[in-house]
Amino acid sequence: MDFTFRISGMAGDGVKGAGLVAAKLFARLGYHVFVHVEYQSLIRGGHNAAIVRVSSEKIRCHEQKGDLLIALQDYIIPLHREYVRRVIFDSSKFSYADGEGLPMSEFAKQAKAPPVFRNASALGALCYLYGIDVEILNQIYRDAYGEKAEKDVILAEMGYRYASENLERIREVKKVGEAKPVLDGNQAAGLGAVRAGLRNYYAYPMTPSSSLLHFLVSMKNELGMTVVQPENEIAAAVMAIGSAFAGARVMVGTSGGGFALMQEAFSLAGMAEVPVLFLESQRGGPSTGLPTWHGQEDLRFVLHAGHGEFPRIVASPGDVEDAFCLAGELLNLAWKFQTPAVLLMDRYLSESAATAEIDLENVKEEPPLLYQGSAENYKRYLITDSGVSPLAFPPEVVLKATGNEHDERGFTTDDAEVSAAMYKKRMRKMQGIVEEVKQRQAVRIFGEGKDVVFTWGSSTGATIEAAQKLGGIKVVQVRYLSPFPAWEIEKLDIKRAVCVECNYTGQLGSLLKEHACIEAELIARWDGRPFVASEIVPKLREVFG
Amino acid sequence: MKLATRAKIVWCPGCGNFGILKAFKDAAAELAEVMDLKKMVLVSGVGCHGKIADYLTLSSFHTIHGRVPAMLAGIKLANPKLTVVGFAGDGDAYNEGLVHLIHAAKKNIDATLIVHNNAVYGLTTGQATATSAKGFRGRSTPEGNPEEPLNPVALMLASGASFVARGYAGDAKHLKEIIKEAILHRGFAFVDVLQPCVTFNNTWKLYREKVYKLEEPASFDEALQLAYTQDRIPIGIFYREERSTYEELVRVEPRSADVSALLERMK
Repeated sequence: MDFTFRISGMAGDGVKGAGLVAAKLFARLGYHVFVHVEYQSLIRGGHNAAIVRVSSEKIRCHEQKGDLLIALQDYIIPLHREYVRRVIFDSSKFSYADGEGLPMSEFAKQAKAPPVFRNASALGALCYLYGIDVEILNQIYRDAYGEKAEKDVILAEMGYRYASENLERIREVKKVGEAKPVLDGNQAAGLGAVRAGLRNYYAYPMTPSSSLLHFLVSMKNELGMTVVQPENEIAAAVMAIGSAFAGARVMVGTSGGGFALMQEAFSLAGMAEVPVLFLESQRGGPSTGLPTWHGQEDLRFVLHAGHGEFPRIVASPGDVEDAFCLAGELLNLAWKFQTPAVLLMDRYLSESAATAEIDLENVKEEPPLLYQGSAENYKRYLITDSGVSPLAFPPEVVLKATGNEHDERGFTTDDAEVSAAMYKKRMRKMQGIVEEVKQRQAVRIFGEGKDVVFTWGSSTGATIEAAQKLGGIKVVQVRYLSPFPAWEIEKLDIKRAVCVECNYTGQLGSLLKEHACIEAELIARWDGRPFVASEIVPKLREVFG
Repeated sequence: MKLATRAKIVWCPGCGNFGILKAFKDAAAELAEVMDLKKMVLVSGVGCHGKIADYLTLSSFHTIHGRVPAMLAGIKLANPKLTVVGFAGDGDAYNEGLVHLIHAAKKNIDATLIVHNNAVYGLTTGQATATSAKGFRGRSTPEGNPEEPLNPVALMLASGASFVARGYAGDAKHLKEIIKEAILHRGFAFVDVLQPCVTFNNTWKLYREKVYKLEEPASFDEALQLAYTQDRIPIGIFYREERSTYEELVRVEPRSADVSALLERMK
């Protein structure tokens, strides 16, 4: 069983929330769900949509074609009509000849509820259409809102009753398993970092990272975390460096434009050897670009971010579970090697909610190298074979850190010999990072074949599904990007190579060429839309025959 | 506790920074009787003043240009038991990082910020800053600075700083008392220090003539009026008030999180 439906209206209609509730409905019955949300950079009006895909098998992306559109506005219908068999619309607001009416606004009025509550009646009708007991929906509302769920429950039942009398059922959806949690990539990354000991989170609002700020601040007491929205991105990065210097595990959340503002601080973290995890969720650029849409255009930017040279760890998760694991892993590695790390996310991963099987045991707080000696002898930047100097914090020791070149105790120097040795000590950490990443999952491989498709980030999901449809194709998700896992790629037996990514120039493709001499045919898009499997299939067929 | 390090002091002979360093050391030595200096963390910015971190045997972070207030906040938000003191230059605090200064005051971060205000970029060899006088002939303003100088004391009063003072590098004893009060103040304590730059903006004579010590004003309005004093330059504490600090309001004590319970609720 694999089907899709859509809810669409204007900004302010509660489309995203309705999509999430609908997703939970099926997740509680044990299904896999994936919710893709589309919205514009405005607060009222325009076009919002939630596309909900449900399957009895694991799914990795949304699909365009589906059963149904629930239309909350008339003018959005043409945007969706070609993809759906049926349209259920708010017949108390407008008429539409090619659809089936449901008087949602009238129900809301009868229930003395604000107009946006009409969604509950639409979801009640959805329960009938898919043969689901409306009580499951009511319980979702009760779990979320407690006693305040009363109006939602009334409306859900009104919608269900109306549908049972006037609409034809689409299919019977039975319970197939235990309830699964539904979370998006940002939430998963946040929780992964929490598992690795995250204490302070700093973020200036910027789509598509903002939802993580909202999520963590709403949970801060439960998580024992300090969440701060400072005056700008530069402050976010510098505050994070200050906190990590004082001993707290920190993460900074932003998108490409914000990360651009953090460059000098990013470089400071490299120089002063302060562990900071940056979550950079890409959106369509350049500049303000397509602020609410998807992109994977910042790979080269992040790999070369900051002025000067210093070790960095960059990795990009392919799905919600991966975001959880990798966020925790990178926070641990940042502390292990005392250098900045970047979790390179993207809009499609950050904001798409999906059922996820999160294994908490995958992430644990790994202790860094701590100083054991006497306080007087402490040298923050002790030169060691590994390049990693033991950590200690005030007030236990006198800790001197600086963005200037420095000696072992952290005093400024411009002595040629000392500078060269200290520079080399920092760069030497990269060897340890390579060895460490070799022990971890630098790439993920899906399927078998000599026709190999490389991809990264959230493009992984649609690429895997497309490859599975065609068969005989190996998909390689390049998970770590710095260090670049050439050692894994060199092991592959490749007849023909393709690279799938959401940018114009083929940035992963260029890295494959640079590090592994692989010429991969590029399948790319840069229109702000993520790939879906059905769009990749014909393109792969074209290349592989 | 010995406060001087082995680092060679590389300020110009006669630099106002010496007065600030002496005032701070004397203040710290006296404060050592009431607080543990091991818990003191200094942050300095970029400019001649920034070297002060190397001259003191206390924990320090010599950070990037303009960002001292943000780093003070970050340290305090990680460990509120630390006493944080920032040193910034005028180019640092009033040009490059002005936004952080205003917001640190507005938030009322429990930190002290001492601004070495010599009204010139010294380390980059003499360009005009936000506090350079109108008509100041610097290397980037050979025809004279076309801008009116910023008024840091008025700006900090308007931004909500809970402790606002001005000191003078030429009176280290008076400055020491201000610094002590600033560090003991709970909340954002701002100290603008008039500091002659002997090489690029030698204001010793001007300050000797114009500076006078003020009696602490009784109200915010009086403080604001004093901030706009013409002809003479008042030094001393302009204003102080007690209010909640930012860390008290937003910091959450670390605890081990039950992520599995949270995931359960996401079903």
